Amino acid sequence: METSIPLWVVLVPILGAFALLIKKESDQFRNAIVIGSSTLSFILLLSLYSSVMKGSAHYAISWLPGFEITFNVDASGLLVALVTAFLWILCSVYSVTYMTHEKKRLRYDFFSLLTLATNLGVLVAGDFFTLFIFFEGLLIFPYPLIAHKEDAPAVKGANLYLYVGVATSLLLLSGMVLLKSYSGSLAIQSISPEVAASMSTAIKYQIAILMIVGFGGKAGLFFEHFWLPEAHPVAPTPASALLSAAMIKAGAYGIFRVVNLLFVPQGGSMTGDWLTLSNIGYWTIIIGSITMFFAVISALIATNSKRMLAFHSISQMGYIVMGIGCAAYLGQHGAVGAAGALYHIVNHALFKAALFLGVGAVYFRTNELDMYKLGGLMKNMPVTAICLFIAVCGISGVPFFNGFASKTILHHAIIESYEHGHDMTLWVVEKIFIVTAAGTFASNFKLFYLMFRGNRPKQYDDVAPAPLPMKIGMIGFSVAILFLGLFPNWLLETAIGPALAPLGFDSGADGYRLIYDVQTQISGLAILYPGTESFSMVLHNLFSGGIALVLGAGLLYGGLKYHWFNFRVPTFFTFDFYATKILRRLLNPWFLADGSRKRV
Amino acid sequence: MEVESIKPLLAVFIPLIGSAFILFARKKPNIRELCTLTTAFLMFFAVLSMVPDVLAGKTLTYTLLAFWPSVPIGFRVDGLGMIFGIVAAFTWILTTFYSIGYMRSLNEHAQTRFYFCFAVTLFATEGAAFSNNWFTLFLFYELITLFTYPLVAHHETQEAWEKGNKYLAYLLGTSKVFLIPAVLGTYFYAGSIDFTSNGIMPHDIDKTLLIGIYVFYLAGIGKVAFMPLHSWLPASMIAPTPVSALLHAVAVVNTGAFCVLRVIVNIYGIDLMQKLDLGVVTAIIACFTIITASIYAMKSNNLKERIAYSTVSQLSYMVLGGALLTPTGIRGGIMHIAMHAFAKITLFFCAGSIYVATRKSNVSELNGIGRKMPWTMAAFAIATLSMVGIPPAGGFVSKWYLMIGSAEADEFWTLIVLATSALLNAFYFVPIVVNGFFRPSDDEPVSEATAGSVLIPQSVGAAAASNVANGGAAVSIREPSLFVVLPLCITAVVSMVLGMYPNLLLEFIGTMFR
Repeated sequence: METSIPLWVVLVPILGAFALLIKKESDQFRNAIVIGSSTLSFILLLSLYSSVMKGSAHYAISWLPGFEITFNVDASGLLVALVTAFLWILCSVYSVTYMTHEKKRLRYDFFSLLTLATNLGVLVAGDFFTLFIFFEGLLIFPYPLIAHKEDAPAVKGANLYLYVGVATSLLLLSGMVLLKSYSGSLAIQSISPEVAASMSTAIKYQIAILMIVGFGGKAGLFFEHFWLPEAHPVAPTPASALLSAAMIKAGAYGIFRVVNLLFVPQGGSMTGDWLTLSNIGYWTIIIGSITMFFAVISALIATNSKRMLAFHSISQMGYIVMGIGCAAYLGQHGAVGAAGALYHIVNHALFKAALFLGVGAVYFRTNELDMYKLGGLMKNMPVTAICLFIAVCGISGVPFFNGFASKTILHHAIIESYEHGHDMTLWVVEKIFIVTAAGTFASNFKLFYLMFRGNRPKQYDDVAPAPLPMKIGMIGFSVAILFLGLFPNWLLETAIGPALAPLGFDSGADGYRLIYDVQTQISGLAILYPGTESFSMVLHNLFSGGIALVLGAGLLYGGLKYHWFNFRVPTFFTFDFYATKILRRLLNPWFLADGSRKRV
Repeated sequence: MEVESIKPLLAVFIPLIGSAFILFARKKPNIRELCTLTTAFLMFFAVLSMVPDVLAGKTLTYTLLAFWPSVPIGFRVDGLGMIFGIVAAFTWILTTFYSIGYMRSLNEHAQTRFYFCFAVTLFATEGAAFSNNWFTLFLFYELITLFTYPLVAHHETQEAWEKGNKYLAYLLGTSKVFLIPAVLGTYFYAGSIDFTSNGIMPHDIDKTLLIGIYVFYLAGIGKVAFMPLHSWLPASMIAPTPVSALLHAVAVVNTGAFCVLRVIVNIYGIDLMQKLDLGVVTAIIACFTIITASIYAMKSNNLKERIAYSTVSQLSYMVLGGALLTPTGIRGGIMHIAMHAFAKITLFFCAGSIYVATRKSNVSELNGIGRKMPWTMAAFAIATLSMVGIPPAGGFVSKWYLMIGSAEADEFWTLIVLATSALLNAFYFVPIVVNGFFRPSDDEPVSEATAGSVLIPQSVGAAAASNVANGGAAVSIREPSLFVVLPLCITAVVSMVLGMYPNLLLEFIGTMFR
């Protein structure tokens, strides 16, 4: 359907940002504008739902000859965009009080709205050219949010973010240029069979690698992730939540588009192009699993709670990317992987935002981010504690919370990938998946335990509960987490199923049936799946989920009792150390050309 | 379609007439400046009046002197010349406003000479843009060199003379030693030195000769600042900032890129270039310059010098566009003349504005400057976006065309060079913006924690100490006069607008490929 709504979705926050300048001094006016324009964007997106279900909503503005700024909203884009706008609303409500402790609120709100606009722009863009323009906006506008405090760690984190962003977006641009010159089009859709046949395999791999690595910078893929634990924790908490929960999804969404749409052959048999696709998928799985595993180890030994959450963001992105990879690896039968990835994008957005907001509420009252220095705040901040507990259950994949459904689907995707090719590395990946899930469980429950249980340090005896707007934000996310956890099929039926339909998956395949039967798994463990060949897989899923929880609980107990979490990896052993160091070395001499090289 | 018209003559000679008025009004500064402004506006409108004709696909010609029948001195206005001419005319207006603010705030001497030489340089620039053959172009090319010399050596100090002489030696030397033989050789073998749409060089003569003449052209056009013939450009930074703007955005270096594009497109022609593989050779030289100049830029701490090296690098973008020999690449190269001009002039205006306000010229002293001079640094930030090539700034569009062009030409390594160069651009421009806005100023007390291990540690303490030595002269920094700030805001906005509506430029270029 031809409609200008996608354009307005992007324009509303931009106009809102400039409207902020009308009354610079009034806090109420600013808050109203920020919450109002993100809500308006959300409503506009919601109004697209019916037309998107019938096909897609698109809109084009002619620009350069041969290029148009096009918008095209399909079900998957709409889903992620809706979640993004939803996050922005609640985080804006939360920041009404939170930001009273910060200076320069006008700048914060201004760039927050611009970030929202470009983030939504990435999700509703109709071609890679438009997407790239918004993606570059997403590179610049969050900078003032990250560097908000203007102290050394903030500027350092923001600089890392910027340089990694510039470098990776150039890779993305190179990939786009190759795509444009070889396929003649930048539309976000499958390359047509004739064009695909004319492109050599090497070019396809080049394009795929450049674009995946290009988007991966924002998504925090392994070897491009090192900016994330530096940049996300230093921002004000609502901004951390938005960056960690919404913005990195733009990267994951880009990878999803490249892997699950661009290179998916239209119809056809399982030869030739499918082979390219499944190779791309295979390596995406590997990268995803490395990302999830290393990040969770770092998260386990982190002491700064926001830093820990940032590592979990990387780890969860690993899950998502692995799901995307499975979808490509399985080819026509990959619905299960794509569904898991999309579902996890939504779930991660919700629980990660809730976690950040909870930690932020504690920080707001105690001014302490080191979780080992906190404790026993359950009595002081009961609402925060409950909301954080719900979020912790969500991220850990506890049944009846939202993470369980998506993690089960993703787990199914990885075992199906193994069954598909009987590749031993994928068997290992499946074990890594379980261990990571256990680590996530241990790490997040440890966070909850250290903050809210145990002994309360003296100075926190009269900590007040979180203020109302912050509670509203946290409760909003908790309700969403619980809702999705209790009714996992709702999202699958309303959004993810329709989103998968145009992606070229064989709807009769195993994946689909299983997806729609998650309800069966959750509503009662006794009701077994009636299918024949998948029966063992379902059992395997449930069994592995159980193992993960038991392992996680054991790790938590042992870790707290025997101080495993105090183990510090020597810095020279970590990848981040070298990445940051190399970048610093690269940049250092050039900016000290005046000869004053000594450090202060 | 060629049409005889007097408009090119008007556009070229208005500044020459204006320069006479400037001399007459030398006793009354206000009237003198009014003369300059009027001239600038008149010339801009004269150039503008040719736009509809050029867009309609006409090529305006005018023969001035034909004392040598086969090589008449005359004018020919096509799309390439039009872009160059209109950019020069428009930026001259802004530069004039800026010069008034800058020269008066600093109480510079010999202002009449300054404005006079400026006007004559513009005369020569428009002449070069609308030249009909290499002879005319050569005359104006040399005229630009001669009349910018007093501007470069404006301060008349020992250093200014030395650097001015270097400037003159490089530009005159290369053109005398290499360019004249190349032009003569072209005339000898092709029988003409006119610019035509498909080139004039005969295909059937000895390959070595053709390549030799081409190499002489490249070496002879010193204004394009190929490494290693670039060092006149950073040296000329001794001049007052409006002159730097003139050199970098309005006239001089653009003439260099323009001449090289003329040689590639209108003398050799794309077919012959492809046949001789000259495109690749040019691209290699250009890419070497792009990367090396960027590295030099990172190493320089002087703001103007850093921007100057950036120009050396960016000029080669334009040449690279031509050297790719694909329509898209050439589009990108030509477009980059305009995109680069507006971004670079903004950067220079900002550097000058900072100098006027603070007397600071080193990158390492500019922490926290953005809080004191928000407009200047915002403009600087926009120009930086354009330099790195981030939408919606203008530099993105030309970079995009260049990249598509290199993919079309199957030269992947140029794609890598372009991407690397953009990254290097970010490395040397972004910290200025970031430190300007987000680092505490050196004039404010610095706590131990702030001065710690930042990714880009700058010697805060040392700079603060030097500031104390200056007697804390720069404590109350604020934006300089409107004459300085307004032009740089306008150029920054134009740079953005060109990025969002590049169609006009594309239409000009389109007329070349009909």
